[in-house]
Amino acid sequence: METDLIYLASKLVDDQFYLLITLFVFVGLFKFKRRDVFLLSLLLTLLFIPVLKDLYKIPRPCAGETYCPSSYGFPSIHSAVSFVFIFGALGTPLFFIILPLGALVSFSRIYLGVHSLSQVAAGATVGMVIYLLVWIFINRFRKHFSLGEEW
Amino acid sequence: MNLKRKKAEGFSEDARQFLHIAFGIFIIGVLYFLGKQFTLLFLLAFICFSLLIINLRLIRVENPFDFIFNRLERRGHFPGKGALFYLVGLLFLVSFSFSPTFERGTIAILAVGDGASTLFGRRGKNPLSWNPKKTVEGLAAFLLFGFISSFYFFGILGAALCSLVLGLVETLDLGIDDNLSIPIAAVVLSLFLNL
Repeated sequence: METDLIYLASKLVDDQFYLLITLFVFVGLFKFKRRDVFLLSLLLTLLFIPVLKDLYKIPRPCAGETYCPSSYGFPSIHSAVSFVFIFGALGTPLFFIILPLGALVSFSRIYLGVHSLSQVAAGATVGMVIYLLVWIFINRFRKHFSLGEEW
Repeated sequence: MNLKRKKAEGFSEDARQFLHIAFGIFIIGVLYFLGKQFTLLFLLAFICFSLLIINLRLIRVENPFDFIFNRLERRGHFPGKGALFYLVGLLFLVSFSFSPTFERGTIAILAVGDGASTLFGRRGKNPLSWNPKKTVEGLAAFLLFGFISSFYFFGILGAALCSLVLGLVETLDLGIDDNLSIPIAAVVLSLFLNL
């Protein structure tokens, strides 16, 4: 039961669940305060993580096993996307649901053996850094046009 | 009244910088005694906890940690901005460093060099030609204290090079918080130096 829950959590942001991911993105676009930052961060994260994987070329802990994804392990795209959602939800009550969910998704990747802690931490960091950088630059743009800064 | 408020804000800024330095040294200690994996877990957990209390502040729910924001928060910024950027910067450095020496040395520069730079730079009178928001005194403090704090990890040449490169990055007006720009620059430097 516990393993099923963790496996399900991991699948929540897996690329096989297009509809579920789309649903989560729509929830974000309707409920998050900074939809512009969230959407751009998500897109950049999805573009940038594969580049980093190919740059560092660090294998997954499960490399060679049949269940193991074929891509490199560093950094984890699941944890990167989770933390983009977590940051996106800041400032809303939805945050209290998304934070534990995002943490569970990140943990599940370690539990299932498809990522190490270092790879999950790196992915989480990339998601956070991209979100914060996008936030900074969009706020600069807004400031230039006197639209005001907000979280 | 304005002078009193200015003094209080100045004291808060000094307190923030001492906390910045102390926390960085603490993280080096955690790395040294408990290892990288524990440090990553600790920083992730601390960031999640910080986000939780920041969110409580943002949605205006009173909580026992409000006194931290009241005491240390910079006026005009969203709550916990400085601390959050610093934590993320530290996590970035630890995650993307593959040499224990490099990660500890650069954290030392980020913590001590950057902290000292703000403490002395605020009191400086000579603005930099390429960025009038920063001062010569601040840059000198960054180079000196960055060198002293990282010398143990990098040796003389390494400490001088890293302090110089990161110190110059810190003076640039990139529009990015120093707590992010310095770690990003450090990781890029490590890629070039193949560390």
